[in-house]
Amino acid sequence: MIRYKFEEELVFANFYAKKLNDSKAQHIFEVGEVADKEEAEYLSAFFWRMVDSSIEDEKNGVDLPWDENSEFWTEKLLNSIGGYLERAGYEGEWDKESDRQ
Amino acid sequence: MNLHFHTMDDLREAISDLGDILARPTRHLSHPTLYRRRDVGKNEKIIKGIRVKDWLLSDDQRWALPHDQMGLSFSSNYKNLKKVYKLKERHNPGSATHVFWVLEEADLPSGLKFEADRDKKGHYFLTVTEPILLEKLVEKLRAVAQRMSIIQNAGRLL
Repeated sequence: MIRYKFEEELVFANFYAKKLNDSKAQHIFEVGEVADKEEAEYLSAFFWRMVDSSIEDEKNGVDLPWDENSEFWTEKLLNSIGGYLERAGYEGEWDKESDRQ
Repeated sequence: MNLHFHTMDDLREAISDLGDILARPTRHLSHPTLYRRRDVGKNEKIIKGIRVKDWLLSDDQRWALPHDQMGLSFSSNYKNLKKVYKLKERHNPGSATHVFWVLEEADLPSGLKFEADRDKKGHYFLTVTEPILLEKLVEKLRAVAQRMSIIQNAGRLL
């Protein structure tokens, strides 16, 4: 299971899964884990899409439902999602996607 | 010691040469252990450079309380550092991001301790081990910053 240090991390992740109309990411966050290598790759790629979308929102002055900036929450999520993927045996998928960025 | 890097490969080599260190990517002109108003969200609370959300604070927000999984984030390996670095660069386009580091075995001010993140390899927290008044914590974090060295992103400064 993905272990979050703050409940708001999941709120943030769900917010962007919905905003990006991404039902697969919503499902992963709902169950709290990935089913296989393909989902691990998907979650890794979604993380960086979420980062880009949150940066775009801040640039556009979108009113967001948290006080901290997106840099704070995406750094928390980097460790929560990355830590989970490592524990689940998908460190290679996580690293590969990050290297592509 | 003042090192420079131009590429991520340069940074990897510099890190591997330094041995066991804890590192913190930091935007150009920002402080490695304290925050300025412009570093945080517009509605976010900082007290004397302390980011409230980073620490477990007393109800009156005068004290930082011990918690082994809360505090300032550091990377203990290149893999983690590289990802955090990329994240910071992406959030701060047009600004150089440097890497501040301290030896893992460095003497820290009393009441501070590095603790490994139980859920993430390569990630550590600089934590407090006893209740510390925020004024004192600021002093201690300044002292940590003075012990840190920097690897500058020379490419982005040119």
